[in-house]
Amino acid sequence: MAAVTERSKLSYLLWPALAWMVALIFFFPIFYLVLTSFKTDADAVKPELLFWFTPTLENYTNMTQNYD
Amino acid sequence: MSNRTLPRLLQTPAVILLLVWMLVPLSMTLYFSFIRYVLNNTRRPEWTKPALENWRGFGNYEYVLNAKDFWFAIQNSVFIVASILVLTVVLGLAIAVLINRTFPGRGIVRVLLISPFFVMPAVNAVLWINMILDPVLGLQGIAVGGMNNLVDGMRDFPVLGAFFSLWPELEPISFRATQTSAYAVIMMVTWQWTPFAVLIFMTSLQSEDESQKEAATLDGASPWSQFINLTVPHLARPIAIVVMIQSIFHLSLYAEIEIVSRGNGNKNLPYLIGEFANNNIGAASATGIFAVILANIIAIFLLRMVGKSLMD
Repeated sequence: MAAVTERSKLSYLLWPALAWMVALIFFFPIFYLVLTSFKTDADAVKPELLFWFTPTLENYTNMTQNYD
Repeated sequence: MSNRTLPRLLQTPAVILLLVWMLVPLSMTLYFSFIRYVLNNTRRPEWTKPALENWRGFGNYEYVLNAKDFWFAIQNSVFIVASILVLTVVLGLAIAVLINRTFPGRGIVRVLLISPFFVMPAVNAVLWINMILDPVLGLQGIAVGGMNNLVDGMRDFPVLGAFFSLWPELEPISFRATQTSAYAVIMMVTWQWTPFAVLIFMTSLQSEDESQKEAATLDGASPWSQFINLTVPHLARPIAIVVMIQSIFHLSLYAEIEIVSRGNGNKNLPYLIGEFANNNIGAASATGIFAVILANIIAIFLLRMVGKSLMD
C-alpha cells in the first residue's frame, strides 16, 4: 500500500544520513582501537600520527613473548 | 497421573543442579558473614579458619555499616545505575526509531551499531580511560589542544580577533578524579549497552501496527505526537524489560570501576566487596548480603512495573 503522505526529498536524505553518522560514531572507538594496535608503542601516543602512520605487526607478534 | 510424573522426573536433575548452584554460594556467604574470617592475621591465627567457634553474630554487619565508604558506595552504585539506565533507554529509543525505515546500507548500519556490545568490559574500560578520555595522550587531549591552537590562530584576525581573544584557554578534563571517574564509567557503559537497548527496541518496533499510524496521519497527527501516543505505549513492555535486565546487571559492575577508579575514592558496592575481601572475608560477605538485599529491593520494584505493563 503506497504511503499516504508525501515526504520531501530532504527527509529522504536527512534521516539515513543521520543514521549513518550515528552508526559511525558508535563504531569509531572500536575502529580507533584496531587502528592503534597497528602502531608501535612510541607512535601510539603521538597526536600527529593519528591516522597517517606506517603500520606494523609488532604488537601481534610480541603478544605471546612479553606475556608473563 | 503418569502424564505429570514423567516430565517432573525428567526435570528433577536440572532443578537440583540449579538449586545447588543458587543455595551453596548464598548459604556460604551467609555463614561467613556471621563469623570472624580473615585471610591473614598474625596475632589471632584462629581467625584464619572459617570455624564455628569464631561466631560473631551481627558484628560484621555493624562493622560494615560503620565503615566510612559504605553509604557512599551504595549511593554511588544507585547513581551510576540510574544514569546508565536513563541514558541507554533514551538513546536506544531514539536510535531504534531512526533506523526503523529501510534505507541503503541498513544492514551494515545495524552491525556497526551493535558492535560495541561485543567488546569485553576490561577492554572497554582501558580503551575509554586511556585512549579516548586521557587529558594528554587521548583523543580528548588532542581535540582540546587542537581547538586551543585554532583559537590562538584566530586571535590575530582583524575583526573576529576581538571575539576570540575573549575565548578562555580550555583545559582538558582529567577523568581520573573521584567524581569525574564516575562520569567516565557512565560514559563507557552507556556506549556499551545502548546497542542492547537498540536491539530490543528495534525488534519490537517491527511489530508495530503500520495501518494505525497511517490512520493517525490521515487524522492529522504530527510524527512527534504519533511517537508519544502510539509508539511509546507499544514499547512499554520492552522498556520495562530493558530496565530490569540492565539494572540487575549494572549493580554488579566491577571491571570498569576497578580499572578507572583504582584507589581514587570512587567506589560502588562490588568494588567495596573486593576491597574488603583483600583480607576480611567476614566483612566482605556481610557487604555481599547487603548487595543481595539492595538488588532484591530494586528487582521487586521493577517486577511490579513489568507486571503492570504485562497485564494489559
